[in-house]
Amino acid sequence: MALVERPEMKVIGKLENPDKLAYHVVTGNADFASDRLAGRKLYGAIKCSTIMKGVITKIDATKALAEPGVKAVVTHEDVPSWKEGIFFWGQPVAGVIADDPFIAERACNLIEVEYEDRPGVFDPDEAMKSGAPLTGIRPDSNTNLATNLDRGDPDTAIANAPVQLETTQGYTTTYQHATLEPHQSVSWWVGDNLYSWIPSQHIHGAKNSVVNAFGMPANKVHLFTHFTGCGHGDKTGDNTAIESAAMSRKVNGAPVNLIKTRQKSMLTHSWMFAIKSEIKWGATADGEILGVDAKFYGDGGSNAMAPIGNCHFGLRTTYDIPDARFQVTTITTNSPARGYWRCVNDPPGACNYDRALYKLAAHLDMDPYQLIMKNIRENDAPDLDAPYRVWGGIAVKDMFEWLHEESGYAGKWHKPGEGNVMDDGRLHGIAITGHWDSHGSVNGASRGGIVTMCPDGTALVNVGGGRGPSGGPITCVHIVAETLGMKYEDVGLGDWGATDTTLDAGIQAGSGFTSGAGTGFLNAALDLRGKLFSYAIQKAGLRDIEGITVDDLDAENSEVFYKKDPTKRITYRQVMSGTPPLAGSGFGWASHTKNRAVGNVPLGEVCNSNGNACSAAEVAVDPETGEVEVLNHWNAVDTGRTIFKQGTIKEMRSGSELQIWQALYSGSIWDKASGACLSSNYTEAMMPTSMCFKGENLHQQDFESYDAAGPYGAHGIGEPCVTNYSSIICAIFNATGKWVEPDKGPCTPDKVLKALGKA
Amino acid sequence: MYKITHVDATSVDDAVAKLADGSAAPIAGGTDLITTLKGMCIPTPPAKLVNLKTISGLKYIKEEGGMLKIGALTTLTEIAKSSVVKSKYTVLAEAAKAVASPELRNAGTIGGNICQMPRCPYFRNENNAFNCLRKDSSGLCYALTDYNVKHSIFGAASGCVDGCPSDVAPALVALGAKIKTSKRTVDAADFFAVDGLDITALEDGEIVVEIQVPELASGTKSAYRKFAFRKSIDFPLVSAAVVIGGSNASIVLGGVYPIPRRAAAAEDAIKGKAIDETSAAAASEQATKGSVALGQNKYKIQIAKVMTKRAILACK
Repeated sequence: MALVERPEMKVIGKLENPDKLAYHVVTGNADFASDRLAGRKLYGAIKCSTIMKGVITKIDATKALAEPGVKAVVTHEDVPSWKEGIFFWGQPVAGVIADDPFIAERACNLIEVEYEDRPGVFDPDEAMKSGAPLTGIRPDSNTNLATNLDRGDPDTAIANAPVQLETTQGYTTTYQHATLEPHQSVSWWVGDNLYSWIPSQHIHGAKNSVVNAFGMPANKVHLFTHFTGCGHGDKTGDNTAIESAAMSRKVNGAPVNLIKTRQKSMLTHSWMFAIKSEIKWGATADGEILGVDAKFYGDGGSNAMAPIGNCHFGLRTTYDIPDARFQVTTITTNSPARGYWRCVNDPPGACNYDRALYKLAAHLDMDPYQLIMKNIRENDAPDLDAPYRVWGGIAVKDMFEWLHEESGYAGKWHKPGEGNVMDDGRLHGIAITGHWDSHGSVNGASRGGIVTMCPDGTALVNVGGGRGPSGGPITCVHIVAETLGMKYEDVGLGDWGATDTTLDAGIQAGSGFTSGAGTGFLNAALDLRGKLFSYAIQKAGLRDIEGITVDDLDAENSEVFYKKDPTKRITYRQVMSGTPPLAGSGFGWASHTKNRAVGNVPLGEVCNSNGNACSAAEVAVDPETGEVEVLNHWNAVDTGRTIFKQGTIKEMRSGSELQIWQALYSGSIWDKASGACLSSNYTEAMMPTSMCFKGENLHQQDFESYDAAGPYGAHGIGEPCVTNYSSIICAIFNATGKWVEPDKGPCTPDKVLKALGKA
Repeated sequence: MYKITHVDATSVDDAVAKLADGSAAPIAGGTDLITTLKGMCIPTPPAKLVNLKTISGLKYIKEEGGMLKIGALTTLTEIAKSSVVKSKYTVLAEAAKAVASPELRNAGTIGGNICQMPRCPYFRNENNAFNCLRKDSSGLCYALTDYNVKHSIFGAASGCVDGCPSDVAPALVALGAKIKTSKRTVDAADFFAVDGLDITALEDGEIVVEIQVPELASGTKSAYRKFAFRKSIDFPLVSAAVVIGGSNASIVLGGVYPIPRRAAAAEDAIKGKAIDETSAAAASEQATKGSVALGQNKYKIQIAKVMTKRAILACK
């Protein structure tokens, strides 16, 4: 394991440091966008299309406008992000501004919309067929080869391999977010300046969207965000700011609070995409993989830019396969847009290649763990396809070994579907999967942070993001407190997400925020620390020390002290006495290459910034009903360095829950004839409740491997820790000896019974 | 949300009077009605809600006159926790406990539970997106030809292939209960009917007042077994309510037909037999006699057999 010796941290990694935000959410004290301007705003609602493909020919709002309390109606002619053409059932076609949200919602039903219905295609396999109707989302094709990467000569390697196996994996589940807060925003205009409160994971990205949509100067768009009722990728984009701003403009700039119902939130914001695959293996009889030809197909719905192209990443990077081909085809269909859901590529990607790996193991009559360990890359191994990079999967192999031991796998694994009947008649199964994730890094653009010091010696971390997924911002608090030598309780959260007063901290998500914004705040704290020390040496208690320089100082417990004589110390409050207001700013960079070894990464040192995670699942399958119970689930995550301990444990625990959710619960149901979603609510979408999980059966372990690219050695864990839901599906295979096809949904009992030949 | 006025009823007669104009609907726990109204999924919503919770004297569980009497406003939690119901009418206690989640059981009443509207996702789709025949007699049953994973395995009732959403309903039919309304007393077996938006034979302005369950013969045992994809909170995809005592057996399935479905062949198969794995399995095979799966729900036939067998075995 790439563990390195590190000095003991004062704040970082301390379990006793509480989450500074979660309490406010669960006690109802958190403030959300719709809490703004109460009593002096109008309300907006949207009407959605009832066809999947076509064009609007007429909108008659006469009846709606005649309703008492209705102020105005907007259409695609008013809202820059709306279209005249219809590309999926549920697309926004009109909106109402009214005195209260119920009037607005009811009036939407009075708007009469006429369409010219055109042939569309809902099913991704149909969309790929020659002669299929064009979805219209791309101009000339329903498909796009997003990734086409060859390593060596896979065709020859597979052809010459002693064992060849062709596998197909059906579509993984597609589902919507279960965010606490539906989409909403409050916008108003003052002259030609736009102000908008939105729930956002990336307020500066939202601002860019608004600027582009309205063609406005950036300094006239002012966006704010505080708490967001969960993000998980759902609160990226403009978060309805464009829609509410257009509505406000329609009523002469009066504040308009657009509130989307749960159904409309689900329909009009991004879904997780479904991916299927055809994976061909060439291997030796004892399990050495010599070649792979992996083709993935992902349904992006009505999003031509659905971020699917990297779904092969874990297969490409986690295993030592000398000759390989990776192709990813993205498909457009006339259905809601697929996009960010707890990041993007890896969960459905891993659910494909892990199933294919387990099929190879079964074909070779091998324990899949042995197959994995025979082919897994060593810790710290560099990227095979990008040798200019110095990054590598840091602790994947260690985590596999830990899970093997911790889960008691060796004593529990059995051949698929053999000798595993439990006392109660159910079938026992176990599986381990893991991967090096495509997420967790700073991803391109630089990320910034500002730290301000208050006159009383407390500090504020000003994060340019929302307050929903609190792991990222609280991680930054830890980094700042550690760097400034302050007590954890002396560092607070400042003016979050006001685009005018913060720097772009990137998308506030567990995967990239720690690496990007975390480094930004590390450097901001270092900047501020230098300024504070330069004032400290001028203050009573330190200024009398002969020849003292800032290099002679250090800080702990919110006090600055003289390193040669730690009894000589003053508090930050004393430092700030009579000192002008101070702030520090800093940036974090993408720093993965030998040629761009910037930030805090020494040139050529192994770093990653991406996340890594492994999971083991132990299940019991009822062969009479097809019900699956997860008896135990282990989630091991390579954090690089665990900064916010409580948050990390929480994230890993919820990661287990999300894996169970994806494997057994999350789904969507559709009327295929019309393309209508029938599950845009919590009942039919089968959101699991807390009673679906047994906390004592969910086990977490963080691995501190040290990543030179990240602040204090940390990297992101958001996507990695939710990815390995394939462990549950592979465990069902181990239990039953049959593959349960998710068929674009969870592995519900009907599908298990079908696999068992009982339905 | 529709624009609705809300009035309190002071008595059953007052409620009936306030419901008389046909534009009003009764509300008790509201756990079903409010979501329906918020979703705006019915074409002619009520203009007025008549609050029954302000009627005193409709919340009780008592044994009287050789029967168990339960007031219509009694919550599902109260029924599930009642010692008399648990000990003597186990199937009803288990059915009440199987409803939704603790929070919903705390609010939901037995009267409301047996008067739910259909759960079919076409019926429930917001803003009345589908012209479902339960809402409009000239409409269609969209589930017949498209999504029908959760629907009937015994064909249509009045053209509808929904599955009965009530946990309590099959238990009451199995117990031979009667439903006392503001107008009459009806056998539970006759109370449930496919009638437009409702799953009951209640007429306009008629409300449920009391549930009457006849005292069971000594040695009678009963059980309720429920199957749903999401165990922690969901409507039954399949449920089996079984009451067995002496030479009598009553087996009623939920979730497999728009209203509770008596499994007469299964009753005949288990009547007078000692309960064991073999007899239970044989009876459960009969429980789905006459079933015909739709395109996507063949699994429910298997599940119906298993739930029936398990409920019978629980009566051992």
